[in-house]
Amino acid sequence: MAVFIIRRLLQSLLVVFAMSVIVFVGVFAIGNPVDIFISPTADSIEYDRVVRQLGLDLPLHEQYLRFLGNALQGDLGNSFITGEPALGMILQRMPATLELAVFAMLIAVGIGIPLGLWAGLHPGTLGGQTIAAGSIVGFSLPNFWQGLMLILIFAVTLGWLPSGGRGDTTDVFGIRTSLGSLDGLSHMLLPAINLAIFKTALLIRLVRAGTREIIRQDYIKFARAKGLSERRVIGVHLLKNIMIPVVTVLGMELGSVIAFAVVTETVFAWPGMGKLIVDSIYVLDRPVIVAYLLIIVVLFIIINMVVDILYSALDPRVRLGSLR
Amino acid sequence: MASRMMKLAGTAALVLAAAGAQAQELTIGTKLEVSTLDPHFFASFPSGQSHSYLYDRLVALDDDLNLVPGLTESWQALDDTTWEFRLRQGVTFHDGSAFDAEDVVATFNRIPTVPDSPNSFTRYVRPITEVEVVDDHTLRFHTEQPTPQLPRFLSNVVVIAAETELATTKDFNDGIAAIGTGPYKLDEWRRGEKLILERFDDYWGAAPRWEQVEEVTLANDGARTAALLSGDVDVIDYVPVADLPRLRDDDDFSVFTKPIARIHYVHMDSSRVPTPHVDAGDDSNPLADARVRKALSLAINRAAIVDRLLLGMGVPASQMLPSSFAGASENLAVDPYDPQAARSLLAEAGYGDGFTMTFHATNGRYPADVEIAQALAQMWTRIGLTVQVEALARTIFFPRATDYEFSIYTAQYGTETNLDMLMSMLHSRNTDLGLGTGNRARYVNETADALIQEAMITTDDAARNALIAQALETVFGEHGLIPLYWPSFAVAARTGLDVAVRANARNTAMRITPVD
Repeated sequence: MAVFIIRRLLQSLLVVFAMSVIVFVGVFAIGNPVDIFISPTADSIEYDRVVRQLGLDLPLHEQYLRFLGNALQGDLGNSFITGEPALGMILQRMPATLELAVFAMLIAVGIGIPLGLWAGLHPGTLGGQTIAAGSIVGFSLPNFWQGLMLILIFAVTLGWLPSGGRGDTTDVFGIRTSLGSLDGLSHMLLPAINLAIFKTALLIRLVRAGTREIIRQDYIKFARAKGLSERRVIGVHLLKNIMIPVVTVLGMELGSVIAFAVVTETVFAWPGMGKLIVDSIYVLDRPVIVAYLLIIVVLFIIINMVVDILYSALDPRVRLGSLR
Repeated sequence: MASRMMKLAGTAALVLAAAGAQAQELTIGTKLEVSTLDPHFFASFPSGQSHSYLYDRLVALDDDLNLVPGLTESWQALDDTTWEFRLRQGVTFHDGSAFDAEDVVATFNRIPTVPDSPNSFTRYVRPITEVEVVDDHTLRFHTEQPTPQLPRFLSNVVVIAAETELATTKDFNDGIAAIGTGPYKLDEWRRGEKLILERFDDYWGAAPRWEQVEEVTLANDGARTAALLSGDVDVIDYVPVADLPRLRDDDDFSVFTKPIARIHYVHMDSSRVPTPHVDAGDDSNPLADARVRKALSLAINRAAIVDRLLLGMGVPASQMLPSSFAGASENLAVDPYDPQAARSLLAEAGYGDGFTMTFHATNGRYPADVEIAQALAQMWTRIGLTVQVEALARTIFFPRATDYEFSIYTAQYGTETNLDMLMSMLHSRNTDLGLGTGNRARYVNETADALIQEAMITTDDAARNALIAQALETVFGEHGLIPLYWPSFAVAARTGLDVAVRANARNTAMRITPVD
């Protein structure tokens, strides 16, 4: 296990390095960021000062080597716009995104797995077919439009929930959270649902398909013949066997919710990392873009590692050594 | 169903309106996100809006951007290079300390020394070579060269308390140093989310109307409108063009608009022969011919663009800024829509068979920017040209434009004065003098250059304005730039509030009052 984790981390270093080169060159190729954020009335003395201050007058490889040198000491550079450490800016926004993502995943798991299971166990019934059809709708709605509709219905027309923003937060161990107050929760509900709809649909289909396949297996018939309770047959023998694809997809989806909740965060004015990265791309704030993508790469690597470890827990036949 | 929805929304709005009136609280949804509370860190347009709650400037601007007394009661030029500013008496900072000359000196000391600034305010104080403190409330500024724009420059300079001269940007962002003389005090700043402000009871000017103000950042257009409709906010700025009809027709909301100090223009490369994105079959540059540029302008139906694409959110333009701005020429009129005359001009210039060009525009930077570019291309096609539109994201557009990559492009530009516009957009690019930084089309006219440079050092207002008008006439007489329209700025509020719209396209609680 320890060897597996160490090897994974070493591999991830390579990925992180490659990513930093790609992003650096990509942002460099787009153009000079100073043209975008400097005021149009700034004179050329000021323009040149800013270019020099940000090191943009150096050739690309020197800019990169300078970045690499600092990065190795844990400094990913300061934002062009705020002058603050890029890493700090991202970490400051991270809790908002994390709690939204986790909340959304809980909704998806809490609704998607039971519904999928039920639809898989009762495939011919009206209920089962309704769930299956409903999941297709969940798939096909564009996230952006769906968010606006949720706002229109629940905030504008019915007035039950706020249209956006983060609402009241409470401090838990120095981290601000929306989970501590009713106002905070009410602000989180709509964006979380917006993120959860697609995941729920995905889970329903995965679990339903898995259930239908496994329920026909011999060992399920055998378990039933042995006289085990239906609860135990489904809860242990069936559920455990459909979990491997579900865990894989959940892992990937959790990563993508954290990294790319951009649309939802924008529509609901949720002050998370997604909004920060969009704003940063908008003004070509390279240090923030690079730092963000590096963090995301690391995040995906960790999630995948956790998924692999979970595999071995779910299925004893899987050995970590063979999963590279 | 739709009408029922509106009734429901209406009831909700009324209930909220009643609550708002009692609570003396105002919530404003804004497109402009404040990125720092350090008023000297970043001369950026969005942050300036939020800073005007907390801080005051030496010279203030009225709603039409004329200079009015701010922290200085009066100012005058003693001679060409000496200015005397008399500071206002009885002004206090949020921490109770009194405002005097020392605070101004501290401000001037701090501005050029703020580290890591992405665009500093140094430009506005650079002309001052010496600050002479005559007494606690009188200052004399000495400049090396005549600088008639000095009071205008100082309308950009926020005054901080002397004890915060050495404070870091972080101190300001944390709120420790965010102590100004402005009408509202800082309660809390939640970055990227909202700024919460409290009334400052000892404010020197008119008593602030609201006990508490929340300025909520809602950068997304849809989210901003939804927040207003749902009653989460009382007022929104930068109302999306598409939502205007709906809000105008709804009795629960009112829309307030005003043309702003900004121009949507077409700029053309008139000096390179040939120029990269224009092909006339030979090596010539048709855009170098004033007749061709005039033909392009005559082919444009400005009224149609403003009415159909902007739903009335603009005014057809004849020059850089509307006639209410100092230095605007009275001799320039909006070019009529006359495709016939445009065709004859093209023929006269030897391009009767037309030519091919690629027209560059921004995508999503300004309201309806792509649609406007396409409309212009169609109008030019009608006079016999072949025009291809290339709309680019702003992150790609502006760097390329600055590198002179385009031959003809459209964008917007906004400042407060005609002179600023001339210096940046129409003076030929001159790195030594710091002029022409926004002239992304290589426009060069030596007569205009000379007039602009003379206006920059002419202290007498009337004489300077005459020079500015003359420079504008020189440029627009030969269509050095094609003015399209002056955009309007729209603010929408729940019924029961009155909003005075400012021509600098910034909306603050100071200009919002309840209707009695």
